[in-house]
Amino acid sequence: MLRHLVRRVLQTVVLLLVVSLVVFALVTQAPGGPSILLDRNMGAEEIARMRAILGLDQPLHVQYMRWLGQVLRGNLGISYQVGLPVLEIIGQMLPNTLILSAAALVLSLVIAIPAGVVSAARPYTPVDHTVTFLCFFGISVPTFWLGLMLIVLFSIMLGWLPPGGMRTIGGPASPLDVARHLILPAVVLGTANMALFARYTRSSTMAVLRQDYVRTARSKGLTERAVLYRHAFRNALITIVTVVGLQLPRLVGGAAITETVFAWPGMGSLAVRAAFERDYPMIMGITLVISTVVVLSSLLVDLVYVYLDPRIRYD
Amino acid sequence: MTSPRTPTDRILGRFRRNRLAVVSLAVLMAIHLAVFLAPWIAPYSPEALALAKRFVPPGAEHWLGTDEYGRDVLTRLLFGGRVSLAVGLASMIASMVLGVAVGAVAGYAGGLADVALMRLTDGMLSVPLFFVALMALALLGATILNLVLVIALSSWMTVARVVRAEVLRTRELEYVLAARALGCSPLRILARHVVPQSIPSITVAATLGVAFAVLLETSLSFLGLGVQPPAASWGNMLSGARGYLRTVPGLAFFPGAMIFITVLCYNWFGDGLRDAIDPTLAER
Repeated sequence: MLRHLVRRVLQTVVLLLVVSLVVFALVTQAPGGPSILLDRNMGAEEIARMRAILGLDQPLHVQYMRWLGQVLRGNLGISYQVGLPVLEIIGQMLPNTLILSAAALVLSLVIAIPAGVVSAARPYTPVDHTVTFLCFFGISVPTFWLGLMLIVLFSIMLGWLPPGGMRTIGGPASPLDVARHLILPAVVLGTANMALFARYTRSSTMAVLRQDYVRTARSKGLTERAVLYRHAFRNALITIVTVVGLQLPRLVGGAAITETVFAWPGMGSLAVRAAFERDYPMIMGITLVISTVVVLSSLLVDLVYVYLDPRIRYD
Repeated sequence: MTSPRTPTDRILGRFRRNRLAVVSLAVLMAIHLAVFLAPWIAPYSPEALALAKRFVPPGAEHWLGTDEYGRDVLTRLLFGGRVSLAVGLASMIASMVLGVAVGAVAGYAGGLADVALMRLTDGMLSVPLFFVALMALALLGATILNLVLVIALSSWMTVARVVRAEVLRTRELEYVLAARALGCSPLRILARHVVPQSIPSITVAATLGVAFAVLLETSLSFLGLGVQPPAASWGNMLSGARGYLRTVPGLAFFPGAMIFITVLCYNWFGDGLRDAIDPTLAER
């Protein structure tokens, strides 16, 4: 167990180093990278001096190590556009993205798991077919379009929910107000995952229902309900936890689009804006921080998985 | 005299019984044909401005109305679909080539190459690639070629794993051993004897891959990092319509509906294809 843990942590560290290398390479090698700071009217001598100040005259690996050293000390640089430390801005936005992603995840699991279990308990019935049908809709619908259509329906036509943002401007700040703003984005972000989780719940529950111990449980006279929830579902849960872990990167990617549609002040809308404004320190910071959060969360899910299933002992 | 039923006949037979998959295939063929014929069948020019005819509601003259520059929505849907589907198909092909190459080499070579390539695959799967894609497009420029490369680079992993698994199964089969004993080069064995075995799985992955690629392309175009206006793509039409949600919500409805229908049909078609190829997978 300990060895597995150490190995997973080491893999995580290597993975994050590779991400940092890719981020660094993209920014330094892209046309108009940091050299964009050089003014066209500068003379050759001035350019050389500027390059020396920026450290651009050093070999690439030296530049990388310097940058990495700063990053590890928590210095992600100053945003070109906002003029504030990147880490500070990210610190303000990251919680909002986590709130949105967590709400979407909880919502999708709360709906997907019962739907999947019911589907598996009555395979090839109208209930099952309906769930499967809806799942395909959920997997195929473009997030941004679903978001816009829900805004048209619930905000513009019915006027029930706010069309975007996180708080009512000028209104009293309350958790209830944030919750009202959270409903539509969470539904939109949750939809695709809902469909996926329901499919996996269905297939893993069906697989478990074929096991011998389920037959034993039935033959000793347990109700179908007890068999389903106490015996089958618990084991199916292990697969679901794995899938949740595997889905995290895509959940966060989807959050970027959802945040843009609903003007939700999070990492995703921040990244899109930074990409347009060519705010290099910001883009690099966001990609690094979001990758770290996702990779660490996956590590956590992996450990939960080992805890849930005593049969898995990595030796 | 009837010829014996080949495995292909059996697959086609099973596929034909899946009504949803057959209908999806028909719809896809219709969409692709219409989009391909756009320059000949589209009633108007996709980019010419007609400011006198802004926001004409759907009617006899403009079936789906006109947009904020007076351009015919139906025409732009047809031309936009050309771009979206071309990018989707090209990305899928690039992603298949990459995935098959990685999977085949990893599975056949084994050892260190296998470990390294699979670590790379798993690593790519565990990072939020959408942010890296955003960053790459912002830095390298949002051209169609970059878009295809970015989509391909973020989607080859599934195919690589599928192909690797198939190659591991196939490489110890007797006819492959025979080919090796005859002195065939590894490349020839892979290309002639091993990879063709996984063509059914690759086909399924490719079909579902188009769905993924179209969704990703339209998402990036919607954010403004994909196909650039005035050229139409389903994603950037939607993003242009965002400003008129209150006044002309229909403008946002049509391009999104096209994306939705196309992706849905590719998913249903791919699913039907998988069930037809391997009925034991039907309940996944």
